[in-house]
Amino acid sequence: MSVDDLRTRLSEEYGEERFTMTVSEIEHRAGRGSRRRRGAWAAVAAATAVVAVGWLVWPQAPAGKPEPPATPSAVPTASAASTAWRAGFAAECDRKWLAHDRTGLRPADQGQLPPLLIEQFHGELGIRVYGNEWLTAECERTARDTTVGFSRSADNTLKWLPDAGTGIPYFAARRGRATSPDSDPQPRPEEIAGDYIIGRAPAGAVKIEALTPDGRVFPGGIGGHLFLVWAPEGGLRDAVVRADVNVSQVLVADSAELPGAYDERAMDAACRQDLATGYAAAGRIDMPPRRFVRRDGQRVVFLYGSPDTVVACSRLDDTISLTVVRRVPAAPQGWQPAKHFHHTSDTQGWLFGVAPDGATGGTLTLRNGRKVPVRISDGWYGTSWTADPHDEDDRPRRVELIVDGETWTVPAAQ
Amino acid sequence: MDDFAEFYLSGKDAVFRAVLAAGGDRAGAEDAVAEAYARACARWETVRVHPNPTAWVLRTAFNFRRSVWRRLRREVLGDLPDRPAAVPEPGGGLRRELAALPRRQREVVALRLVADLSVAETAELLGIAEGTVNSHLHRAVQSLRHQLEPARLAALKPTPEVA
Repeated sequence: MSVDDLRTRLSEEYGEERFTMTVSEIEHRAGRGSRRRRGAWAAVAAATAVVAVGWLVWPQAPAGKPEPPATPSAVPTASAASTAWRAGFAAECDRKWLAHDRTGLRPADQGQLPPLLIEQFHGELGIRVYGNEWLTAECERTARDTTVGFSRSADNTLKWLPDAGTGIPYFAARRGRATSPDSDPQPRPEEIAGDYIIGRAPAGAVKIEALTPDGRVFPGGIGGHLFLVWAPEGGLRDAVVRADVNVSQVLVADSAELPGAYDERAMDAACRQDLATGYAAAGRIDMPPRRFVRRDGQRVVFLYGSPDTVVACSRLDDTISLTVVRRVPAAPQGWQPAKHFHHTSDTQGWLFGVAPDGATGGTLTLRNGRKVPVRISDGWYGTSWTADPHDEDDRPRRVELIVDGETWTVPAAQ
Repeated sequence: MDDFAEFYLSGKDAVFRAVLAAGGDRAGAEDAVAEAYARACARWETVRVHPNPTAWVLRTAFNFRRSVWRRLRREVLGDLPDRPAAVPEPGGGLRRELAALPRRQREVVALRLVADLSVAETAELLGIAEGTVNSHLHRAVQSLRHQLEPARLAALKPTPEVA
C-alpha cells in the first residue's frame, strides 16, 4: 500500500463524515461581544461535549432541592400598546424555531421547542427561554426582529449545562452598546439587541442576580433548572453572577486568559488579579490562603479558603476561571464543621472544606460505593477523584473524617 | 476570506474528518472542532488574516484534543508519552488500525492525507521537523500495510466449497 493508496482509502472511509453544527450555533458558542475577558461561552465551551463545566454548588439546601417555580417567572412591564404583540409571541417563536435547521438535534428535540421555563417582557421587547437537559433555546423580540437561538452539547447524547456539582455553569450573549465602543454613546433603537445570561441555577438557589462594574444590579428569573438574567438594553458586560444559596452566596464571572506554560506563581498571581478585578462588581473580596493544589495534565485547580470565603481558581487551556463562595453577612459566624463543596468536571471531581479540630484523615464515598482518601491540611480537608460527569453515581455521597479515633460522617449532599 | 460563515461552512467537514482520523472518540472530536471554530469566531479579526486559517483551527482542535488525552492518560492510563488512542473508534478495519497507531503518526496521517496539508504546514502545526513528518508518515503507512493488507488478501480468497 502506497501513500496514495492510503489517501484514497481514508477518503473512502471518512468522506461521508459531516460536522452538523450550524454557523449560528458556533457563533453562539463563541460568545460574541466579549473583549477583555473571554466570553462566558468559553467558560463552558471546554466541556460542552464532555460536560459543561461544573461549578460549585455549596452549601446545598439540607432538605434537598427546592421546587422550581411552578410557572415560568415573568417580569411584566406591560403597557396597553405593548400587549398586542405578546399574544402572538409564542407562535412567532415556534415559527422561527421551525425555520431552523434542526437535523443535528436529538430526534426528540427536532419537532418542537423544549418546555418554556422563563418569559420576560420590557415594553416592546421580550424573551422566552425554553430548555430541557439536552437543549436550551431562547426566543428574543428585539427592536429589529424576533430571533431564536439554541445551544446544545456537540454530542447530543450528552446533557447540556448539567448539574455537575456546586456552581453556576452559564453562557451569555452580550450585544449591547459595549460591542460598539466607538459609536455614538446614545444608541439608536435599532442598535440595541440586548444582553442576557442563561445558566444552570445552583441547587437551592433562591435568588440570582447579575452585578455590573457600574454598580447596577440586574435581577434574574429562575425557571425549572435554568435561570435568566436579561438586560434588554444591554449592560451585562463584565457582570458577576451571584446566587443566594442557603446562608451563602456563590459568585461566578467570565474566565480570564492566562496564556503560556503552567507556572504556579504566575497562576496564583492571575487568580488574585482576577478576583480583584473580575469580581470587583461584587465588592472587595480578599483572597483567602491557599489550601490545596490539584494538577492533572493541563487542568490545575487552586483551592483557597478562610472562615468567610472559599475560592476555587481553575486553569485549563490558557484560561482561568474563579468561583467564589462567601458567607452572607447575616449568617451565623463561621462555617459549620466539615462544610464542603465539590466540583465535577470532564474527568475529575474535587471537594474540600473545613475539618473539625483534631481530624487526621478520612474517606470520601461516592454514590457508586467507590472510596477516595481524604487529606487533611491546616484544618482543611480535601480530595479529588477521577469522575465521569455524566454518571450520577460518580458524585460524592458522604465524607467520613477521623477525629480522635472516632468517625465523623458528613453527607456530601449537605 | 472575510466572512466567518463562509470560512466555517467551506471547511468544517474536512476539519472534522481530520480530527476524527487523528484519534479519540467521536464526541471528543466533535467537541474539539466546535471549540476550535468557536475560538476562531471569537477572534475572527485575527484569524482571518492568518496565513492559513484552517491550519489555525486544526491546531486549536488538536491542542484541545491533546489536553483531554493528557488528562485521561495521567488519571486513567498513567503518564505514557505516546500510545494508541484509548478508545478506538468502532467501525471499519481502517479506523481500528489507525486508532492503534501512536498518536503522532495518527496526527501526521490526518493532517497530510485527510486535511491535505503540505509537509511544511504539517510540520509547523505539530511543531516538528519536516523530516520527522515524512518519517512518521512512512512508519504509519508501513504499519497499516501490515495490518490491513493481510485482511484484504484474506477477503479475496475463494470460499472453499462444501460438499
